[in-house]
Amino acid sequence: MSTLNVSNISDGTDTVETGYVVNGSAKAWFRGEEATAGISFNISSSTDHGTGDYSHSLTSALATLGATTTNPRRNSNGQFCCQNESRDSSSVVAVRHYNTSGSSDGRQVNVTFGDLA
Amino acid sequence: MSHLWDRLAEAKSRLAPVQSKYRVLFENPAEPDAPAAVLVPDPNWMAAALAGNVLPPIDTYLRDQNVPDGQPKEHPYAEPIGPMTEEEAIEYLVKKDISPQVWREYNGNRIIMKIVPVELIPSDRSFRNAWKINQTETEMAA
Repeated sequence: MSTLNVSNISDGTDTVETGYVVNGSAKAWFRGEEATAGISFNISSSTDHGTGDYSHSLTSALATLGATTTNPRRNSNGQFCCQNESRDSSSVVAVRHYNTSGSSDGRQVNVTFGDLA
Repeated sequence: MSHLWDRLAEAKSRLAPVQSKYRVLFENPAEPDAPAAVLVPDPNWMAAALAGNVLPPIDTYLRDQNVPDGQPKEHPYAEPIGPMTEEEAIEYLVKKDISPQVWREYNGNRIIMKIVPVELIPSDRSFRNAWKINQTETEMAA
C-alpha cells in the first residue's frame, strides 16, 4: 500500500492542513442489532449486558475518552439513546438504548470520534 | 512500524468478514445481581485474527490497561502476530475485552464464564435481564 505525504489539502480556493482531515475522521463505527454487527470498524467485540445496555471494545484505542454519537436505527415507541458513562473508556464505547416502555429493540448506529492512542 | 488503525483499514478492504460460531457468556463477580453478559466477536476483527499480521500481541493490551489516558500506549505500534485459529482468537478476546476479575482473579465455586456455540444462546429475550449462566450441563447456556 502506498502513502501520500502532504501537509495541506486544497480545492483550489480553500486550503486546510491534512491533520484537520485525519483528526476529524471517525475512528470507529458500529451498525447492528444488540451486540451483532452488520457493519463496523475498529471494533474487536461487542457485549450485550442486558436489555438496552451494550458496549463495543475498540481494537485500536483512543488516547482519551472519545465522543460518540449513537442513534437507534428506527424510531418506534419513542426510542432514545445515550452514551453510558459508567462503562465508557478510551477503549470501550458504551451505549444505552431505551423506549418509553423501558425496553429496546437493540438496533443501533454508533460513530466515535477522537484522537488515536 | 505501521499504526494498528491503518492495518485494520487495509485488512477491512481486503478481507471478508467472518461471523464467529462462538459466544462468550460471563458474569462479573463484582456485580452479582447483574444478568449474564454475552460477548460477540466482531466479524472484521475475526477476519483479521484468522489472516494474521494485523493484531498486536495480547500482552500489549494487558500492559496498556495500566497506562493512564493521554500516555503513550504500546498496542498500536507493536509488531503484529501471525494467524490464529478461531479458538485462539476467542481466548485472545477473553483476555482483551473481559475484566481479569472474570477470567483470572475469580476464586469462587460458581461457573462465571462459558464459551459456547451461538446456538446455545436463547433467542427469546423476553426475560433478558434475568439471564444467569446454567451451572449444570443442559441444552441452553443461559
